[in-house]
Amino acid sequence: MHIHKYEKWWLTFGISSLVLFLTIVGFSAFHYGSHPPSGKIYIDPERVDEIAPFNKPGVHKVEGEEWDYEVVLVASAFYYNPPEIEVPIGSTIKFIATTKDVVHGFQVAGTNINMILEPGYVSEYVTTVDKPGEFLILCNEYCGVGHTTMTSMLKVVE
Amino acid sequence: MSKKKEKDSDLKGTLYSVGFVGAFILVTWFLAFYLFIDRF
Amino acid sequence: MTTIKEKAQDFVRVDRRDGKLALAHIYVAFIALFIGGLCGLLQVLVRSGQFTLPWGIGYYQVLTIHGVLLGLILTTYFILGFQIAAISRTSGTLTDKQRLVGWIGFWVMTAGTVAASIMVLLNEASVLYTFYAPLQAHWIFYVGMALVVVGSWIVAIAQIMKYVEWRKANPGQPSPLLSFMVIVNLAMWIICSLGVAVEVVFQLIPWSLGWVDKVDVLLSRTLFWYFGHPLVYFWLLPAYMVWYVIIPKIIGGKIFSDALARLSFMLFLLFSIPVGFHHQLTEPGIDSFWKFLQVVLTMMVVIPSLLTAFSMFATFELRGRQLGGRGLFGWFKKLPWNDARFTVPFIGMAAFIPAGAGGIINASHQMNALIHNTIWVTGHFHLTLATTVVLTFFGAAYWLIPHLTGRVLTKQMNKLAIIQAIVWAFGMSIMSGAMHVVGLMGAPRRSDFSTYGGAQQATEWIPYQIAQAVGGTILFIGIILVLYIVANLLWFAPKGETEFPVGEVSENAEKTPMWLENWKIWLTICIALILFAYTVPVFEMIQNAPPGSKGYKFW
Repeated sequence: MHIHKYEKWWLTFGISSLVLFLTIVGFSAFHYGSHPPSGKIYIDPERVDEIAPFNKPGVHKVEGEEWDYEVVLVASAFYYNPPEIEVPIGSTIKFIATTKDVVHGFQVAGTNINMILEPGYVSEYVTTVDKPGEFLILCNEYCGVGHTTMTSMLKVVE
Repeated sequence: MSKKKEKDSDLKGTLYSVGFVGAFILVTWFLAFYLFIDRF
Repeated sequence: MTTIKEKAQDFVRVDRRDGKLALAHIYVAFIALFIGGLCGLLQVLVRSGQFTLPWGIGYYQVLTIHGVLLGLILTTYFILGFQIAAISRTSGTLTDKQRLVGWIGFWVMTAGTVAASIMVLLNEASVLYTFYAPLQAHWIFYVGMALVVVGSWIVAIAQIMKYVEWRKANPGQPSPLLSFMVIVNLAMWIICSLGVAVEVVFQLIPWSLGWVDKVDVLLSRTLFWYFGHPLVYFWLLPAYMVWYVIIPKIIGGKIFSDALARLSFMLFLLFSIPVGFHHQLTEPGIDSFWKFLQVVLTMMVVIPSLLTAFSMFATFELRGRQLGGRGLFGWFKKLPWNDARFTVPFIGMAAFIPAGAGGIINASHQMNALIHNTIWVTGHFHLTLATTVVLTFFGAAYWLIPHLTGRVLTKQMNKLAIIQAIVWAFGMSIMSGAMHVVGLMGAPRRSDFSTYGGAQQATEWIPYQIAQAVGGTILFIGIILVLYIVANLLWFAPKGETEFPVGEVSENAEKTPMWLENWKIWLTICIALILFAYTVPVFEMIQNAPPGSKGYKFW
């Protein structure tokens, strides 16, 4: 098959760019651990309230872990528990969340914290909150008529 | 452009056009990547 | 140099009976465009915060109609109608049996569409076109959607039968390029829609009927997205058919390379399907490794689009230079800009540059968190589907409909068609641009207007939501314009002969190698890739499945 010289250049350039993108995201994921949220912890969605840590939603200081705080959050139509989260700036937080009913989203607007919460699964994400401010937590996966009334607030304080 | 071999020389505009497309893709990707790195 | 044989080819008409079948599909497509577009207008108005829906109509009901009608009905019907005409034009008139199969498929799809629509209108199915189990719609909605898919397979079979007949009658010859492309698209469609068929038939229908209590949510979503991404390529490939085969003829040029066109279509067949995880990058229950593997495959599917970009520019440059264009870009000015059949799809092509760039960002593994389920994504596919694909379809309708109805596109209609595309591009730039920006700020997609309890961030989104409404309103004007032109071409335009343009390969191009049409090889690789990408993660999903979910009706 004859391929024009310039087309070869173009394909080389284009494919190299794609390889570059993949190398960057692959290296950040598998070397630096910057994975997309992919937790593989299972839970009975109808017994969430009884099972630790979801029997105590809220912010918990922890010792001896790679993170300073655990934020445990339970979503259900159409609420987040807790409705407000306050953490100190610069601390490393592990968000641990699940849903009691349908699929919900857990997005902290203006950040990379963006997870789908599925019944039966626990979603987790670890990050260091290095910017102060109030960040809106909202549901970004359609869950019913009250979808946009589901909110919470992440307050990163000095 | 009746002879096949001569075709190889008259696609300069195409090369520049796809070059622009490629540059656009690279720039937007790195802008997005920067935003991703900047956010927590 | 046009030979007499080629000249005669230009006047090949699609058989009237095949034309009727094609037109039936196109009618439904444009009805869907009107209703779905109207729903889109209502959505942007509501989202601006300045308007509330009357008579207790729900936002998500309207959103479901918008998604189902424009994402599934408009596209599937237009594509199948176009493809019937394309097969009939390039492989010959359908036999009575083939045409009958086509009609059966059409009516099965239409029955399904009506059933599903009724359930949505009764507010029994506000689950969006992505289904979102464990939200549970009425079982008739799911049966309707299953019929749409099954009906589309039947229409596909009619087209495949013709192709098989052609191959048997012409052994050792590559099939007509357009027919070949149609069959690639159908192969992809059938393989991918098996996923959604399994989801609907084995999971959602028994569950909504109460035969089983629970549904495996992650599995249902995985089956959906196994279908959901190739779905977008099912939309895109007919646009590529127009670009590769029709546009060269319209501008008076030649197809740049038959072999490269076939190669790029085969690459689409291989890499469009095993990539569904890039829609599930932020979901639990799937290992990051398997997500990344599908991200790599997703990047592979960019390659045939890179090939396409080059072929298009090359076709234009060669033709423009033939017409006397000088210098680096002189050829660009020589293109037939006053011909809607070219200019309208061209605007679509231009939109694919930002659309493609955005798509690569979306698929970039953990970076997906930046935009996942934000309205950026809505902005993205309103460039791909709602600009690139639909403007190409509109451009195709401007010759296809008069060809089938025995009418002509008048000068005024041609002019109006170009204005329509400019209006569309303008409205879309505003709407999609605002969606991209505000999506990066965090505004979610598939969401009613909300102040989010007065949150500062949500307040900052409102001006962009107003811009979306302005853009969306302009787009609705665009819909009215295109419907006016289509109505003209269906019923009022002057009688006459309109060409179904089919490009020829330049005479000094090489012979197309036959391995490009060896289905055994390609389908084997296609299936192998799917098994490679999905077997282990799906096995893990089933093996470690948590207790399933009962149904909820939260709307």
